[in-house]
Amino acid sequence: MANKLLLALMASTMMTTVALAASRDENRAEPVVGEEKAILTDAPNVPPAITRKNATKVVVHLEVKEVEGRLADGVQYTFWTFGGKVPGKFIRVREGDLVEMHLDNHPDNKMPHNIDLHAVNGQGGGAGASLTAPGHSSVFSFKATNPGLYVYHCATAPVAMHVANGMYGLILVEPKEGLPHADKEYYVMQGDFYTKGANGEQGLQPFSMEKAIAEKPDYVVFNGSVGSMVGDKAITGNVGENVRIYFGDGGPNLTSSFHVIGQIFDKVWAEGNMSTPVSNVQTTMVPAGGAAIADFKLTVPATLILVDHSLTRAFNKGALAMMKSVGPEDKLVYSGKTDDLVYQPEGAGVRVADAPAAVAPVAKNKAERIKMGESVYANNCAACHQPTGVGVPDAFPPLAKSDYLKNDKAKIIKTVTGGLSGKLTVNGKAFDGVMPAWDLPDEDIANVLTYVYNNWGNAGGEVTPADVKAHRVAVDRKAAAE
Amino acid sequence: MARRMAIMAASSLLALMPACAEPMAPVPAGAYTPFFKFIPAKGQRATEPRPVGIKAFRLDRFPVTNAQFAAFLEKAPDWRRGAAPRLFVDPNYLRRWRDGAPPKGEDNAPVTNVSWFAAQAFCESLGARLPTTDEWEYALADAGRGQAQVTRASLDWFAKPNGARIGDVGGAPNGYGVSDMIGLVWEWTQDFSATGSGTEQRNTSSKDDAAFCGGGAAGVRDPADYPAFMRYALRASLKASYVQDNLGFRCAGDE
Amino acid sequence: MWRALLLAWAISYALSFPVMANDAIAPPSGTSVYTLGARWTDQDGHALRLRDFSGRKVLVAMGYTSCPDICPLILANMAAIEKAAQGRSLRFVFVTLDPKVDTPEKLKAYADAHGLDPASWTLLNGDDKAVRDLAAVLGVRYKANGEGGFDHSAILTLLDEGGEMVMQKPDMQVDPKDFVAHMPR
Repeated sequence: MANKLLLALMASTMMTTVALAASRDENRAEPVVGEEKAILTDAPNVPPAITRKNATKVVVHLEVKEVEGRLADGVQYTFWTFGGKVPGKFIRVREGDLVEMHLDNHPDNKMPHNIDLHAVNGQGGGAGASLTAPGHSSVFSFKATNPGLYVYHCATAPVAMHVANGMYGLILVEPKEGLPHADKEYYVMQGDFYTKGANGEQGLQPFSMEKAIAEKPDYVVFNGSVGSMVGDKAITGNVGENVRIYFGDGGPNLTSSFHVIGQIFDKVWAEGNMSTPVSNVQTTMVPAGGAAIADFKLTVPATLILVDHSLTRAFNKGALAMMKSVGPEDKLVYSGKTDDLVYQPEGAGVRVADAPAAVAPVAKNKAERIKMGESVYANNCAACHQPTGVGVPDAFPPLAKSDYLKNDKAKIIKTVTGGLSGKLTVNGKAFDGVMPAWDLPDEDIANVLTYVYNNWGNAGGEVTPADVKAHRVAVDRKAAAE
Repeated sequence: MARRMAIMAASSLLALMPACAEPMAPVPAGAYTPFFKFIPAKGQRATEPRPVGIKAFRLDRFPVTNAQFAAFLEKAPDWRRGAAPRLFVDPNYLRRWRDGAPPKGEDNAPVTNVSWFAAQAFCESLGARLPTTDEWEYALADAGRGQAQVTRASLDWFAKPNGARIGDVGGAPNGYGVSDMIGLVWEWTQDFSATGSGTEQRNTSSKDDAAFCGGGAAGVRDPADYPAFMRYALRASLKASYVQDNLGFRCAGDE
Repeated sequence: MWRALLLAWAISYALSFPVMANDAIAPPSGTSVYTLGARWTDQDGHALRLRDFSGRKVLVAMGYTSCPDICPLILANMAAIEKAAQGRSLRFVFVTLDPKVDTPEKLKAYADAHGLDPASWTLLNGDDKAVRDLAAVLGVRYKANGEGGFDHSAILTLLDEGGEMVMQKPDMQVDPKDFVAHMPR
């Protein structure tokens, strides 16, 4: 019995192997009819799906350019690119195609470069044939025998530095039968960056070899810069649409825990493999030098947040993007907040009698207020506005040197106690987000505001619990329930 | 301050005598470990990096300048843009020159867009030669002095936007009295093609080709020395007729 | 001093480009390998220049006689082409990368040992500069390996009657038919 099972197992394994090998050989043998120039796109765009029923010769021209560009607000970096942007151009071919790669190294460049496509079976994935000096061009071709979503990257030594400077992109070898229909397709690629100055240090930042070797990036970003897809640049979709994200991780070092906050992936083709998608995935792990395809249907309006769920990367180093889903609500799928009640654990009253009464401490003067406000801030505000009040560009407004705080005290108290949503300009930067209403005691609100007023270059002053009581917004629980 | 004076004196000297460089810097003999380790022959066990002996030689203190190259072309019209045989120079040879003259105001900047053949002809015209790769690297290693600055200066140069005018020669000298090996231009060496000598072969025992592809860091002196990888990768990507906007040279001589 | 340098330059210049001086043969084009003017010595001790081969096609490779693995394969590939190119006027030239060791006598012995027909095979020895310049022109990369041998690329180059490079095969996967296709009878 056991033997039989083993035999069956072996047979099925063998059959799988045979089937894959046959497909590879068939693709090698598929006749190449005609020739076309590849349509290449910059992220977050993806070339159109291929409708051809035959294999053809696809000519790809990738121009390598070393260009200075924005890594974060006020932070410039000299990127090395396949096509002028990070990530490199998206290449889309069909299984069985003969791909003729032209690697054109721009004469203004300093460095030699080459290309290793993970879609290639051959020396160095093409690297062996494509080492190219500035002002020169290399050509080689390969048969796209294995369908999948593949990373390509520069493989000139020191490989890690070429990749750390942005030399990666994706090539999709689409299966013959095509992929299921998607209404919107996007190209998102993660990368880690290592700068001489610390995160946020302004000006042109050279590469830090030490931090790269220690794998301690200052920036982890999607599509080449902090905030490349937030605010006005957020990617979009409509309720009812099927969205597909081609997600790659260029590295050079970090594995991504790719997750979309507020959305379940209906299907994920993990590791870019095309044969068996898995269903209902929350977070998919994408290794450096790897890729995945994630499909999901938008069912409610929301601002979905794309992150590397290794969360300090998302909230402190830049690995955060937004997708705006627009359309009618579906309260059955998601109700929104329906109630907001005081929660009293069972037996809490009994315990109070046993334990010394927990009396909330009260600040006796401004200095104490500032001190106690610090912990209120750390517990409630720092996650978004950041521990030093600098905020997160395009997502969370700064509290440091903030012109918004020049509004009168009453308005500030209303903002904190009543919440805020919609368009807002702070220190000349536009924001369009939501701050919830903070249902904290008057004492805590007074302390935290006094703390903020007296830190980070703000004007000083004091807010008392009496001020808060006078101006706070009573949360309308009925409205929230609707 | 004294150093700055010396630099200023050096550059004014160059301006006065563009065609006749200052005497070369004497570089003493010594031991040096090449970036690529020697891989042992069959049967021998793997070895640690093995130092090689470098004989005393002389090396130009600065990269050859536009003014110096212009003076050479006066004497050697067959090397002018348009006259030099295509076998020896790319079509972009001296591409920014007009009517036999370098771009205005760049007399004391390193000459670039010169091929290996043209660089060699220049040096030979002065009874000199190009330095070997080992000599060039040995001079840069400067007996271990200031290597952290060499690394930093290299990375800063890599980050510097392209297309900017190349600066004039006249940087601070290293311990051997040699300046500007990093930060202005790449430089040709006589045996640049010794790097990558295995890249085009399949059935070879050649060793260093892996360093230019994914195979990478095995077999080098210091896998954390990214600028060294860059220098060798650049050499591996070149052919003798190639020219580049940021590729120049300096000459060497036997002691 | 200055004058001496000028003189040195003039001499080296004249030596580098004798072709550009008055010469009975038509000057080669700007891309001909025969633009190189160095003097070589063949396995019989005769002096010659590369352009002395002009007028017929030449298959050229570089290597060295003590080369254990690659060079015998290069020779075998050249011999296969020789066989496939029967009846065509073709010269086979093997240039040593190791001129100090590979004297003309040694090259002669090497040719005999490998049965290379002197009627169609020439083995050349030249000075360091001649070897370096030819390797640079052909794109042959090489490096002494510190143990008396060389790492080098195994490029086969076909030159036409005027010394123009018409075909190069950079690796060992040589199909003689590819070369013969460039040699109409």
